Formats: sequence, structure tokens, C-alpha cells
Amino acid sequence: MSRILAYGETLCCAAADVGELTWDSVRHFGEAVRRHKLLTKQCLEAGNRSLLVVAVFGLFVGLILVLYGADQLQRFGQQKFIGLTGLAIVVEFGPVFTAFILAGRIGSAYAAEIGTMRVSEEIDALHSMGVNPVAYLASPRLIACMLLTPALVIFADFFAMLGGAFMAWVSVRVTPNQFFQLFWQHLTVEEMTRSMVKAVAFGAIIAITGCYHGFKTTGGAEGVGRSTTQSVVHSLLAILVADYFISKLLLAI
Amino acid sequence: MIRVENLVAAYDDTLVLDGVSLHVRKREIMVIMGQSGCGKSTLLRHMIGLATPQSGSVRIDGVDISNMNWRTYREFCRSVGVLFQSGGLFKSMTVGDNVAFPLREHTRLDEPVIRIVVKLKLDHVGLRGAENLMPAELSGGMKKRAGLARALALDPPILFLDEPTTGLDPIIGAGIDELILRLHKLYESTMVVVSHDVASGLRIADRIAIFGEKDLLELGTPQQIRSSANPYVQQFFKRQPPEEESADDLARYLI
Repeated sequence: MSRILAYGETLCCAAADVGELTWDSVRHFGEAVRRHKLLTKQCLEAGNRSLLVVAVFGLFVGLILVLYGADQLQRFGQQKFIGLTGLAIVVEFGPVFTAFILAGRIGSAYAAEIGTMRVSEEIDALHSMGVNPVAYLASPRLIACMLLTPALVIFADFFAMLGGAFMAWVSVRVTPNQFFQLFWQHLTVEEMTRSMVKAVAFGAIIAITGCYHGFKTTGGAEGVGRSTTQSVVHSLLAILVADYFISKLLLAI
Repeated sequence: MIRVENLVAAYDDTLVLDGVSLHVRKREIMVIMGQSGCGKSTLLRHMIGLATPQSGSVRIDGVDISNMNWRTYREFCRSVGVLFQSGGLFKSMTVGDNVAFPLREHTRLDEPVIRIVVKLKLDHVGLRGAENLMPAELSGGMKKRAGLARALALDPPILFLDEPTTGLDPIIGAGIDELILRLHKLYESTMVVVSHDVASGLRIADRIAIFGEKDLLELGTPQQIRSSANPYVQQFFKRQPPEEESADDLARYLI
């Protein structure tokens, strides 16, 4: 029982720290914009270098989803509706899977980079030179992730749809024209908005979780490794939990 | 200049400094010495404002640095330079950018002027032409010199140096000692040096503060400290090992 209480207390403290880091980062957005070179570097880091992996991932998510979807629909002779798989891609699979990739690629890099700076006294050096480490390190990363994740989700969706259309034609002979026509007929502005809201929220989760674990790093190289792993695991969990609550909230509105 | 009064510091539940009081005079080199874990680096962190004391205060020119808001603290940072134990250089930047960092943050100097100041500071620490090197390409001694150049970038009246000769061979360490003395003469700055290098401390210090466990034991000039009657101070300066348990004691413990 005492272990559960201790775990609960740790969880509450961590939640309070994450809240404080988020608020501090948001408060210093202006400073991050003023250091525009740093912000641009972070945007390029988060965006450009993720393009290839996001495209490949998107393509295969589309291929696999339609492969199974077509198989199921064919049992009922309804394969002509395979284009509706695209809705699942836009609303759910695009944002969630892209966020998963970015948590592994960007979030872990943030934790490792900031963690290394912590153990090699670079963060102390920043502080001793009158530079707020949160404003300098966390704010630009948060802005970059919140801006770039929606763009990467659209990019992933595009490739997933291409993969899906190709698989629809190969497996159940639904032409790309029929596939996209059905998709566009049923896609609503609300669904696209829902997808983008999720993408922004997931971007914020990835950046804050990575930075939080980086700032909390102790214990040399081993500590950096631990922070990196924790950052990925906690990001993935937080993305799934947030996905559920955001979906509930947006469906209720 | 720097006045530490009844400073109590702790990490979680572990008391590290218990009511330490110390006064550093203007333009002197104060070397803080003591065995590993005695709290000398913790004292330095409190003097820089990187840690908040549980009680007591650190006043620099009469201003309590633990009660500053961020704007005032940022202004205060212009008047101090810090050399960290590992150098604390930003690994993603060149040496030149590292030295230019405080200038870009705290001044509105044009880039050509900043480049001239960087060259000058690197020249002062004996690293002429090292602007474009990355920290990973530097040796231990060069890292300390580059860290010193960055600490000097804004010509601060106070310098804090954390273990400037630790991890260096005696020749390079002696070179750093000479550099500290030369910079002290050149910049007329107040220096607080944390070290456990006895030879270095005796060479550069105007006064030495010896720390025991959690508290200041002895304070005086190198001559006064060397002739101190305090057994711990004598043990420290004569590099005598701590008393170890005898084989019989160990056997009793095991049985």
C-alpha cells in the first residue's frame, strides 16, 4: 500500500513539474521567436529530417489498412466502400502513427540532447550567463513540434492514401478514381479539424516529454540513456491517453 | 564584495553546508579547498545563484542574490564569469561562438566587433586561432582555457572557477595557474576558486578557506594555513590518508 502511495506521490510531483515546464515554455514563446535562428534550426530538425521516415511509414500504414479492410469488406460483397478507409487514416491513424514516429525520432533526440547538456554543465552555464534554459531550449522545440507535427500528419496522410489507393486496386480492383471519390464525398471539415487538433496536441506532448526528461537527467551517460528511453515510453503512453480524451471531447462538441 | 552569511544548504534530506559564513574581499583570489563531498562546489553554486539556500544569504556588493527576480539576476550575470569543472562549453557550437555567446546575449555589438573581442579573449588565454574548432577537438587544458575565455567575455569584475586544474597533468595545471594569475593582474577581478589541488591553491591564493564536513574550518593566507595547528588541515596539506579500520576490526565486523 505504501508503495502505491509513494508511486502516486511521484506521479503527482511529475505532473506538477510537467505543468510548470509547459507553462514556462509557453510564457517564453516571445523570446523563442526573437531567437529566430534557433527556432528555424529546430523546425528544420523536426520537419525536414522526418520527411522520409514519415512518408515510408504512411505508405505502409495505407497499404496494410486497405489490405485488411478490403479482405473484410469482400466477405460481405461491399468492397466498393474501401475508400472509406481513408477517413480512418485522416482522423486516427495519420495523427497517432505520425506522433509515434516523432516520439521515437524527435522526442528521444530532445531528451538525449538536453540530458547531455545537463550532465556536462551546459545548462548551468546557460543559467550562469543569465539565459533562461527553458526559454532557450524548451520553447523553440515546443513551437517547432506544434507547427511541424500537423504538417507531417498531412504529409503522412497523403502517402497513406496513395498506398491505400494502390492496394485497393491490387486487392479488390477498386480504381484509384473510385477510391478517392468516395473518400472526398464523405470527408468533412470537422474530421479534418479533429485530425489537426490532435496533431498539435501530440506535437506538444512529444516536445514537452522529451524536454522534461532531458532537464531531469542525472547520473552521466547512463542517466542520458535512461532519460531517452523514458521519454519515448512516456510520450507513447501520453499520446494514446490524450488521443482518447481529445476524441471524446471533440465528438461531444 | 562577496559576503556569505550563515548559509545552510541541503540536497533532499542531506545537509551539505551548515551555517557557513565567509567574506571575499574585492580583487583577492580566494581559494576554497577541502576533500571531495565537503560542500565546496555547493557553496560555489549558491554564490552564482544556481541554487537557493535553505537559510542564510549570499550578498554580492550588498545585494542578496537568492532573492533576485529574473531580470535583476540577468543583470547580475553580466558582472560574473564562471568556469565550470568540465568547461561547460556548448558542444554544438564552435569555440568562437561559445566565447561570443555572452556578448550576443548581453550586448548590441555588431558581429565584426564581436569577432574582434572573441579573438582578443582567446589570445588572452593562449588559444589564438582556435575560433573555428569544436569543443570535442580540444584537449582538457584547452577546454579550461576556452571556458575561461567565455567567462571573461564581458570583462566581469568577479570570476568563479570550479576546479580549474582538476584532471590536468601537473605541467598543464601549472600553466592554468599562471594563466589565472596573469588574468587576475590584467582584469583586476575578484576570483573565487574551488579546488582540491594543494599546489595550485598555495600558488594562486591570496587567502585559502579550508572546509571540513559541512563547515568552514580555517581561513587565512597560504602561510597561515600551512602553519595551522588544526589536525585536519595538516592531514589535508600533507596528503595523509584517512585512518582505516584494522584487520581485527574488519574481522569482527564480518563475524
